[in-house]
Amino acid sequence: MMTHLAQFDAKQLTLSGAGINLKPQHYEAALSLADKGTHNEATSGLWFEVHTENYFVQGGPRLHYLQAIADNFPLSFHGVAGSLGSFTEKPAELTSRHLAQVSGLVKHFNPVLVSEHATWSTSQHAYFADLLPLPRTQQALNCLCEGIERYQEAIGRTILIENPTNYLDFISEMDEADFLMEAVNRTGAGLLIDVNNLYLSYRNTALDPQQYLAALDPAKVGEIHIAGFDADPNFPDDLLIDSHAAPVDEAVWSLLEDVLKILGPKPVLLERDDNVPEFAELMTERNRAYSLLTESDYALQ
Amino acid sequence: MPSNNTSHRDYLSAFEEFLQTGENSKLASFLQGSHPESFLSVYRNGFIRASISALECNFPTLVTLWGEEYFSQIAAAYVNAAPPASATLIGYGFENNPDAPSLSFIEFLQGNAADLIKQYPYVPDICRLDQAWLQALNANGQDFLSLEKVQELIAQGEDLGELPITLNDSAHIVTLEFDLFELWGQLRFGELPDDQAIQLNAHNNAVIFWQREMQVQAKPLSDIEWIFMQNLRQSASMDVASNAALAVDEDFDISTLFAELLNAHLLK
Repeated sequence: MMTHLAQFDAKQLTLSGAGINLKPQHYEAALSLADKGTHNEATSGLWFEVHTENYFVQGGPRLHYLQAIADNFPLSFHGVAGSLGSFTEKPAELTSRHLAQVSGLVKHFNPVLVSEHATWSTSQHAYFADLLPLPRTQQALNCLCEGIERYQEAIGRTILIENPTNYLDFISEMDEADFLMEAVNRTGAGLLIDVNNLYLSYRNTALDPQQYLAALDPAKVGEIHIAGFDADPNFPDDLLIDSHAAPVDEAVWSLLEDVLKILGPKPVLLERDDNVPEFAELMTERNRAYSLLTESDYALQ
Repeated sequence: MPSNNTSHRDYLSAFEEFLQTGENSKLASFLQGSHPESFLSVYRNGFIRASISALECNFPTLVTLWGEEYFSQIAAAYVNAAPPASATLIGYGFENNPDAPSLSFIEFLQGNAADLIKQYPYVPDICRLDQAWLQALNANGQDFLSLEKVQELIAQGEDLGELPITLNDSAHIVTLEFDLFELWGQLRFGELPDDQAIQLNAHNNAVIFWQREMQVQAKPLSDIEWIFMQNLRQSASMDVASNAALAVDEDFDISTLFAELLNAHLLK
């Protein structure tokens, strides 16, 4: 499928700085930082991201607060159920309904960025509520590209696709960085590099982060995620889980510095989805990311 | 290891079987490297855990009644029987939800946990109240008939009885088998003493939930109010609804009820 949409180019990015994925319990705290008309150091470079599917409602406080956030801060949508890698020649009906809902939200709120994952999660009849791995085969790549193109066509704009966390190795015909770069080159999409996922893939499957990053085109990378992880309770010595339930680990902060040196400054988002602390604690982590972006040498590039 | 001709569809099918049954022999054939097959459990655990978490959010009062651990056991069985059928977990387990599996959580309990329902016969009612509360919260409550609009219509000579007036989109009427609303509120908002025994009367009744100024409101309905509101919703006619209520109680005061509904932002 040929796309008529413009290819993603990071040079055209209007978003910068560091953000937080926003939870309902933090709506009021986030809005309290907004102070129109005056310079506010606390909000410099601050933006927010939400999980698109959490706003599949017709009204009520969620949409009300999302509008208030969008009126005061740059907003990004991060989908978790697009199942880009499971499209077949006939997308499931539940996938078509899902795309319609995403499209409605994107057209109403016009977020600065829209992203999804290079994974799958739905079959013809069921949604499996997790980011499931794709084997890095030509067939899976073809499905992923079809899924990306259908998603972009439905919402009328290009998206970023996020690298997965790997817990074990499935059959593969190519490295993951090559797999993702091929997908974005074919579809015009961009990349969202999740540094925590990269680190966990390194720890769990011996993926080489430096080799991985060297294979990426920085012009295709539109966003970076950081998050915390936990040891799997069943395999505590062997498996690290992308739980988003802990502060960012120092090893991930260190890898983030490497990523920024190699790819250049990109908008960085702090993810926290479980065991969520007070907003101020998240802002402390967010501010650390913002400092890395603004105070380091690559910020001057 | 599968040959290069093994399709992506075979991989997805093998993974789906593993997620739904725990049987990983087909999926394991797609692995390479030295990791143990048992690591695959990360994905099944993640799927089941996320689905249970959604059920906990959708039926919080039941979680309070049963405790998190016991609720999780029951919820896990439901997830295996009826995985989510929508790429959003809002409404997972609800009755009459077009985006949900054909088997609702209540139906699952009634069909697969008969002893449990015998011990807690009011559990379906608790689920219905939780569902109505959440559906009211997430609905569009902004489109309502205001007093000012009514006055304007009257000034224009309109007959309110002939105008299409119905309930606000956020209004959800729940019919219950037990006199449960007060208990549900105590459980949900943490006001029930731990040692208080639960004694309920079987009694058909109804409660209406709706959204007003971004907050969920709830009110038990008298039999007459229930008749009026059901008819108003179905016919979008004040005249039809009033006549239905008057047929049951000739002393029914439509003007008082209309004023209450208007003030509550329950009409549109």
